[in-house]
Amino acid sequence: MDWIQGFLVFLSGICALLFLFRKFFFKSKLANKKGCDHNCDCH
Amino acid sequence: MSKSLNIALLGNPNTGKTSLFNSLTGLSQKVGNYPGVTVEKKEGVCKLDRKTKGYFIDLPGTYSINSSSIDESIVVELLLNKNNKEYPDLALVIADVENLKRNLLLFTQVKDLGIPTILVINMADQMKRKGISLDIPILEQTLETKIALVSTRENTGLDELKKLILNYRIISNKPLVQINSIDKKYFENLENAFPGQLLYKLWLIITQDANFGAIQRTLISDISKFQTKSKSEIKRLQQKETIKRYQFINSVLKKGLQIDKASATDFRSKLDRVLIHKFWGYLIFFSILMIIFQSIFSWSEVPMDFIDNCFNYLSSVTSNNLPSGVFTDLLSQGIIPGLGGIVIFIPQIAFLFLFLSILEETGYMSRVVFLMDRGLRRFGLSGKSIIPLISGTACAIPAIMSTRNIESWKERLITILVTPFTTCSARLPVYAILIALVIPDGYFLGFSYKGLMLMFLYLIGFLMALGIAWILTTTLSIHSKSYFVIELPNYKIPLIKNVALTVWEKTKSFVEGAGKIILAISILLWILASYGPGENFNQAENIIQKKYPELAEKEIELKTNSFKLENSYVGVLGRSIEPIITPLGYDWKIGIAIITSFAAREVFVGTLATIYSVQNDDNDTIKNKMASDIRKDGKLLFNLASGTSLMIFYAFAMQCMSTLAVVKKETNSWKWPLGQLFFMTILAYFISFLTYQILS
Repeated sequence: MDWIQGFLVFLSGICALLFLFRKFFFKSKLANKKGCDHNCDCH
Repeated sequence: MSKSLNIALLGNPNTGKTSLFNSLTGLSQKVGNYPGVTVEKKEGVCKLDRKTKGYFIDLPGTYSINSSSIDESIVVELLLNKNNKEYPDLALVIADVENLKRNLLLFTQVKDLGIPTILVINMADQMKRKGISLDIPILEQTLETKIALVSTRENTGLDELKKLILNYRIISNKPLVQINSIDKKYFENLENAFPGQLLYKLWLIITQDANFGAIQRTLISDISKFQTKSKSEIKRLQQKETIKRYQFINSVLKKGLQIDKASATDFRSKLDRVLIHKFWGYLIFFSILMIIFQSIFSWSEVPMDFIDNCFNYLSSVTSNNLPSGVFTDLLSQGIIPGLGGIVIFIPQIAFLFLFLSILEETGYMSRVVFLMDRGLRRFGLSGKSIIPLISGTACAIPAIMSTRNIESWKERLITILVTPFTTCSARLPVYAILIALVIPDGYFLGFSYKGLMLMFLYLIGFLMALGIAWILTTTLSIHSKSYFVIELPNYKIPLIKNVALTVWEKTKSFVEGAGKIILAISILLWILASYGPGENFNQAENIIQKKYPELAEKEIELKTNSFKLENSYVGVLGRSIEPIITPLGYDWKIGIAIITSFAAREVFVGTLATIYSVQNDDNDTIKNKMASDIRKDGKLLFNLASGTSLMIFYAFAMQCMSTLAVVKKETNSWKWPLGQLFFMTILAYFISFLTYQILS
């Protein structure tokens, strides 16, 4: 059981990291390339 | 031989357009439908003189001809299509004398289509009662038209209007706003691709799905010489067009419209005289603010305690019922307390937006903007800056975006730079938890200390914004060109549905926006707080047992947890910044919360909730755990001095990554957001340092 719990924690950590990375680095760059406005609801 | 004129009646909804139509045509209208749509229009005939008949077409009420609804597109379609047998020889734009600014937007658009346009100002009978006076010759000259003052209620001015209609040929059909000024290169290309066409018509065809004679919208994107723009770029240009039009309208109204509130005699004006009075106006406004802040604290207490206990219960249920292991610990000590740290503030956020939306719905907020405008001028800001500053109480991001309608760049820049000082809703959870921890219970003149402290924090944010604006205005030697015209809407009883919808939407976006970030940060924090480098972390229990052999098992456990946390990854990181924040009265845990809350201010509370859960996993609430935390010198960590210093830090620091991104986007440079970050952080640090040193 321990390894399953460990794996779930590892998975949660990776997901959290990817989410924050995407939120603060990737998303704005993608949005800029599309030339969208702030009120386009994609920010 | 008799002749006939096609006359289109246009206007915003509720301007008395249909009343005018009925007065002119003697209620002889018939109802017809445009092909393919179900929106009705009315047609009627009026004999203008012995030889001339006017065929009046009463079009659906519309605020502009940037069509976003079927009603509006019907209007555009008629105005653009010269081949339509009902294409108007002239247009009458009906405006309500009380809302001229908003009504003139449609007027300028119709006039720029090259159609002779008469401005009909309705409700002229209300002018005296409302203290409104118009300089008609000046308005006619600046708007390049003829103006008829009518009252459909009293049936006055109609003969004069008929005379103007008969002489419509003398009206200039030159555009009022040069549309190419919003993007010279783009419109130059457009003109070259379609020579001989009216530029504004071409622009409308590009922006709208209207059928127009020989030029089809689809053809434009096929023409090799002309490269059209993306939808979002076109939307941005449309916004620029609207701003340009309002700038023009403001300059016209400044010369031709005077509102003397002192001479008005209606109930609304009497109430306005009190609510925007130089003394009583401010007194009433601050009293309302005081009541709001008091209520936020006293009404929220019960639901907040309930939510706190629910999350606490959920943590213990998770911990006791799931198989023991690291993932269960992550759930019970990381995710649930982290999320609880934000959900607990839903009552306070909901009450704040409840009050704000009621004030907005009743029409009082516009009076506040008007009231503040007077004060702002002393600090070098125009009234247009007040809208971002007031809307910044919800969030700085839309507030900064709303500075786009400030035409003076320097003034706009200053507003962008000072808006983050306004207390946004993300600061509220930080203030609320700290006030609850460090401000004693008690009353001053019937107001609780806690409510007074919250009001003080809102005020110092606003005052700092004004102070910095004044310094920047002086330093940057701004010659302000902006002026401010605001329509004061009628007072009305707020609609429960609208208020409930606003509260729901704002609260939902607060929880959703911050919730996802807090969930992610709680997971990472828990991992960083549950694992650590070196022997100190791995041998924590042995080290504590050797150091304190006399302590009981429970105390050993508590000390071990604290020691482990201090030597975990997050502890090591926190302790490395501790020397910088110790002079402000903070320990490494607060330091970590300050770092993580750079993603969003409300993360501060979620971070502390996670850290305290890892440190002490008994069933006490987060607030109690924080309240009983002791520093190495034996004093409470959250005391009056450190708590106030922390609140001051959050009042002035630029703790918001999203705001920085928006400032970068709006100023098109990293120079301003980085300067803002640097300046605000230094300022926050310095004032927090002074606060702590004075109070401790």
